[in-house]
Amino acid sequence: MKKITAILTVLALALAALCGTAAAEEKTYTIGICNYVDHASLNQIVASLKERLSAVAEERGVTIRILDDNANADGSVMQQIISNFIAEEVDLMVGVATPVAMTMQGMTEDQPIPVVFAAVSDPLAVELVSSLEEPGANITGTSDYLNTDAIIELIFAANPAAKNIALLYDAGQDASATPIAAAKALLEAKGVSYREYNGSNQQEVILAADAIIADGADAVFTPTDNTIMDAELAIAEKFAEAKIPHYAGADSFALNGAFLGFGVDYAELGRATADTAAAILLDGADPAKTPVRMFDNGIATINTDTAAAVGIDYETAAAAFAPFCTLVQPIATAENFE
Amino acid sequence: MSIDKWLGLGQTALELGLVNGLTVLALFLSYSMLNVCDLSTDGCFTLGAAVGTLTALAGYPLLSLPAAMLAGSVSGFVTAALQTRMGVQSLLAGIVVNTAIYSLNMALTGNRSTLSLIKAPTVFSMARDALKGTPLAGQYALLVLLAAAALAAVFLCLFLRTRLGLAIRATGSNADMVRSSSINPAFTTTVGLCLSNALTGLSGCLMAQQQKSFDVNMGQGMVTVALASLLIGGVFFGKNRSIPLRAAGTLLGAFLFRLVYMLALRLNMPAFMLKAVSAAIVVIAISGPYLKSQIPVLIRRGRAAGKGGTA
Repeated sequence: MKKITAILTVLALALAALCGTAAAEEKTYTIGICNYVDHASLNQIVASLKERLSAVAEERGVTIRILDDNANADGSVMQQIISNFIAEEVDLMVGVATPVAMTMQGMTEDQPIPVVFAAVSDPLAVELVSSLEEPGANITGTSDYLNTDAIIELIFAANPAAKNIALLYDAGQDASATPIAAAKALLEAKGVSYREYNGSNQQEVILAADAIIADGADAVFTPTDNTIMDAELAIAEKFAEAKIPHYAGADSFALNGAFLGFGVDYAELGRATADTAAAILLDGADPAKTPVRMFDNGIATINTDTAAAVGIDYETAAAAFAPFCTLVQPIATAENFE
Repeated sequence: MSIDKWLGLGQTALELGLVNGLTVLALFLSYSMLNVCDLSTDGCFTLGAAVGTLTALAGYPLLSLPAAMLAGSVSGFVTAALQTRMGVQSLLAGIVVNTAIYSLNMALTGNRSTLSLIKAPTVFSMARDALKGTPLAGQYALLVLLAAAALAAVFLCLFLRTRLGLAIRATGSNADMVRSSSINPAFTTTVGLCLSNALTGLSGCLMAQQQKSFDVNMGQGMVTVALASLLIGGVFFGKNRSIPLRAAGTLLGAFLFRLVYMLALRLNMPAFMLKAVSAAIVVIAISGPYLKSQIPVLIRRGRAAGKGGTA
């Protein structure tokens, strides 16, 4: 194999020499983006990432070719997509969500291809980077680490008398483990009682939602949990009818009917991921020394339809939440971001 | 694209084919030989991956292989016990075990859905270190997987020639006859499922170590992929062939399955279409030989119709 490569390289060089030096062409870079699964927040990251990359390309007078695939949560397909990227000789790979980033890390162990991850909640815990400031290898990116305490504070800002909090999440989602532990610690410190409800698929989540309503919780908290997110359209109506506000860790929850989605602006995160990729590709930044960017910009998104159904006035809530976040914005229920 | 890159892609397909091939061999035993459709395969694959990952993380990469196989065979034993001793229907037994294993996996990993093996020694990193400086240095993953698949296939072939192996094959083709020969079909089913699930567990263990991470959902859809591969293998080496050829055919089928995926991805087919591709593969694999056998009949009919027309 090496011999063949060598011979081909020599031939190509000879050919180039024969033809004379080619005119200074526009430099072309190839980026392979692999998304983990079809999901409103993740899709939004990919969309804004691509948009930003093409803007940067235009600005800097280079061509950026983008290969874009979705692994549909299948580990084998993920490996094949990434090996396809390697075969295409991409200059950089972007892995959206933790499993993709981890597989890219494994498959580029013997290759010097830089990897930029997006929306990995806890890159330290899954050993993608050795520290947030100095990742130490070919991998860096953006994290959507959730500021759990801020969301829990919002619950009490809206309803100081809240006594029973339901924690709804999928125990199988790695991204949920840390924020749930943080939420429990804060609630215990406040002396408020809580109960955990789990579901690992849509049916189980719906059953868990019924249990929450039967138990009469004052509010529901969910971290950045993809399983609950997938079921949100189905459970939002139940919570609204039972007048229980659902506080969740991403604005896409509010889009799909949760009372409040707090957290990362994924469009902004996508743009920042693109900027990191551009810095590595165009300015020669070293991923080992490029810090992981955290997104804790605290945007509270309130679903006005649900707020009306639950009986919370939008203006009052927005005023109550204002001290805890950088921005409070309204949204109406829809399936996808515009 | 240079031939180098095509070879690189082919190699990924071959490696994945060999990893999945162990699961296909497992189904060859349970589905083709024992005539049991074992729907616990997805869960058992993940269980093997979980046990293998945890053992490797504890610092025993070599022990991880027998540990994953043992875990797989325990799962196979439960599936078998449910259907042979407790009156649970065969398909349902598999589904029940598959469901329960999810909880078991979460309990084993301490409620974590992903585990990273990037810093832990694995059988692959051991092979890489052992082969350092030799001409085969770059091929360590392929070599490990080839060895595993070949050993499993040879073992399976030898086993199926023993008395017990023959009894298992006989159970699959005619349980009543086996019973009348005073062999207990419950026993042969149990042994068969323990063995096949040991292979499935090994397959999951190698997959996790190869991709250097464990994900609690990594086994999802494995049974479909493995059945499809089994059927593709059957096209080349069907029921009338010898057992060793058929076993080799299953591995070939697993490779071809991945090769089709690779081509589909090369043709820029979106990844969500791949499920449709695998469905098409299964249909072609099953109906292809049938349609081929129908060609002479169609020709004869055509001739007959032609004659009828002139008469």
